[in-house]
Amino acid sequence: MTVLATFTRAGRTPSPPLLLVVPALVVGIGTLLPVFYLLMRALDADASQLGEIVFRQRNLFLLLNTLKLVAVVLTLGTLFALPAAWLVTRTDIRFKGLLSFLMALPLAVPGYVMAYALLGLSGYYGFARQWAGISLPPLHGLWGAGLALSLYTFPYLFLNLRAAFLGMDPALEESAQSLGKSRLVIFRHIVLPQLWPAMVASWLIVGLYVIGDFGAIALMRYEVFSYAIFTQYSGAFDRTYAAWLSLMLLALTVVALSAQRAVTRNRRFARTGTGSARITRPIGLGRWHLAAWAFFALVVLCSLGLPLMVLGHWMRLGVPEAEWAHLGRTALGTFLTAGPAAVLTMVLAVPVVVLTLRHPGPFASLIERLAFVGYATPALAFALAMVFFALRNAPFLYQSYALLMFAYVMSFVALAFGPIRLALLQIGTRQEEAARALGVSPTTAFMRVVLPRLRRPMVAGSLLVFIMVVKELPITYLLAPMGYSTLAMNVFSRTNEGMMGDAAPFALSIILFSSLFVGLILKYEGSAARAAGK
Amino acid sequence: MRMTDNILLSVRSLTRRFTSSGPAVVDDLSFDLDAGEILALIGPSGCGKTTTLRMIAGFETPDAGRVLLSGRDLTSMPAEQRGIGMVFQDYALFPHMTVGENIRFGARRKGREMVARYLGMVGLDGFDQRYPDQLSGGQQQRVALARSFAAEPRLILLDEPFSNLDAALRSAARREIRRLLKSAGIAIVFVTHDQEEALSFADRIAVMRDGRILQNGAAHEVYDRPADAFVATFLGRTNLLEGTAEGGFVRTSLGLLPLTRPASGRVSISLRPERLGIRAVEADEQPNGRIVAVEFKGHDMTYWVDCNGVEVQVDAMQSIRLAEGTPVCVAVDGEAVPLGDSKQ
Repeated sequence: MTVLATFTRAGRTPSPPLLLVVPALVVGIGTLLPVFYLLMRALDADASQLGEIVFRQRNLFLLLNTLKLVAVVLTLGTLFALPAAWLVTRTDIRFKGLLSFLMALPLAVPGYVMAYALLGLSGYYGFARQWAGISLPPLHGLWGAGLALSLYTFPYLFLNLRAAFLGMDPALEESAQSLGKSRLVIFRHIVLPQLWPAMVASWLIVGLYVIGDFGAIALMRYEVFSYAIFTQYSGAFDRTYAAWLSLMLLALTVVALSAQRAVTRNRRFARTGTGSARITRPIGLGRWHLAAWAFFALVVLCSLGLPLMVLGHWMRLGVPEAEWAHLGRTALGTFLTAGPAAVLTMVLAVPVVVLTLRHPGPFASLIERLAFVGYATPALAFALAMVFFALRNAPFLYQSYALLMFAYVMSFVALAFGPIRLALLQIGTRQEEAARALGVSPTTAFMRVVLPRLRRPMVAGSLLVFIMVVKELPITYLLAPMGYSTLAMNVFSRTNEGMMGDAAPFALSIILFSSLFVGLILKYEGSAARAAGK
Repeated sequence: MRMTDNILLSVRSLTRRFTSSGPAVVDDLSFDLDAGEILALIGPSGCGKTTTLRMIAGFETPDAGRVLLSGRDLTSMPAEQRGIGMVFQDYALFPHMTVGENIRFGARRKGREMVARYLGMVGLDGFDQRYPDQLSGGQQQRVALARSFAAEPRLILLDEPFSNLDAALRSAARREIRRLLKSAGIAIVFVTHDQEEALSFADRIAVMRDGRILQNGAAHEVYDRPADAFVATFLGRTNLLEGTAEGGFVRTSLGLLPLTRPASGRVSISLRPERLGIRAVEADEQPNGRIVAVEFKGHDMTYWVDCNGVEVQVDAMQSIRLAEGTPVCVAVDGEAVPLGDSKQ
């Protein structure tokens, strides 16, 4: 444990307790497994092949496509999320709660459903033509994939930006105003720099999601790394090349992670001081009310209206025979995988975040980065790595519930970091120290003083993971125990066979199911500091 | 080091650096504290006083030096085993627990009457079901103290204890808490940058600068006989004058003055403004100064007087009121304090 030893000496903080180190090691090792697997696969290639594989022209093409897609998704997503977050936090627009809910709700829409919605809308057979007689140009490729992805990932940006707006000290904007600056100048020079860390952090989350996503991209037939990886595995069956592609994807992730650190260095926390609970005087929208509502209507129509309309259309076309019992069983199955996965993720995420904040050092930041690598690893590669390791080292784990849980937790643990981190920063260390000065051990102090106040962010984080697991496909597909199925698996298998009408009830259930939890996220997020426990 | 066998806390050569090559935040710091005594660590911000407090509490590990409580070495003992209480600047009450639960948290004795007793002690009878956010700043502070008392420590550390209270509340809170601590016989080390707070609350004052203690003594002693110019100006207002000393006297622009201790050659001296008297010149008298500014403070007044090119401040009661520009006689009532070299 030389890493630990050196870090203790250098940081001079007391060495972290095992209670933190063990979960951190589990996360570190768990997220490294796929990397090991990919390396082993990649090294299968003989030396003569190697150069050809690595420097294949196609890699550059895939890389460019991936980057283009990330750029399109982040741009579109920010165009949706930034104005929305500003409108619900800074203006006098009404129904802020409802609007926030609607802006967060697209989280519940699975990527493949969104892609189907866009595909179903456009083209010769699209229902835009059938219903309205308008033949939209078929939406696929870069713009189709970009639009689909941004329409269901922008809620991450929205939630983060909204939290950042709410956490900002209004006194800064007010003093800039008193110095005679215009709204626009204030936004550019005061608000934007403060939003920057939250913006970059959520760009990272969304960007990593985009490069690892597969469902929407496959349907849109846009060739990026994850799509190529899938076709290599399923069609061409060239696992070595697939492994190389996955490794390149991971390299891209590492670059993105270091870029994020470089860009937000020295200003990692949006909020200075304890922040202010004071509400700024909302900006009167006046004549702009109409424009604001039109904006929200358009976003809601695209992100929620479209998929719902398409699902409704499918249900009308082929009225499915009553599958209610099966639907209920799968819904229960989904719940029974997503629930424990969310709880387990939180159990691992809290110690890791505590480690990074209270015992900062090379070990802690390594684990944190590995967790992000786990999140960005293409789910397919992740799942295959798990299959490979299970068959090799612990065959009894193959297609077991435990392994499925483990894979979920390792790929989503990074998602849970954000809310916990913010809450821990807001709570600070004073109260723990006060408890210790009263004669209580550090562990007990944390359990009794900090943990109860982490309840809300923990719930918010678990719900986010819960929704991700509900929508997740490749890991579930490869690792689910025999005879076990989730809503997402049903949607995918049915749409894959063109049975859109059959798939619709399952897809609708996912959306309804998840939307319930999106509402809960809004209820729980960001209110850690004032959790008085009453 | 004082010679008593009643020493509770001994701090020996504490040193702490935040970066291995940087300057020491706390530099070879030593002091002793008697049982039941109140010591103020006072100094400008960044002088290392809070770091010192946190090393005594066990939240910060010293690079060198030792902390002893009743002769027992605590240096490597975790905070929770030291039996030293700490009250933070923001009180750090647990917001999700009631006042009663906060007090019970670290209490040695459990039971309902225990909470009532400690709440009674700080004058908050019947508050045990309230939550911290339902209390005023002063009440929160008293709950934090009660919580600390309930753990029955012999020493409590206070970090800027009164800085979060508004001015009107502060002096009353100080008096009340001082009375409480004295009757409970608990020793206190507290940190402040407020000289009035240090002088009125502490038995003893240690003035810190750049991680070192410049002077450590009884409150009145440090005020009356500051060791150097920094201590003299930091603890109250003063006039710093240059003069030539010979034996027990010094020659200055205000004339020949008696010294608190003999000195010789060029010296800097400190003369508190209240040690100077001022009156208008009489008909045939030669003035030795002229008023250049008057500061009206209600209960008293401060005059800024130009005495042969040297500006001095004089505190005077309300009995006389003189206008700017008045020629006056400034007289010294008391002894001048010769100052040692203060490190700049």
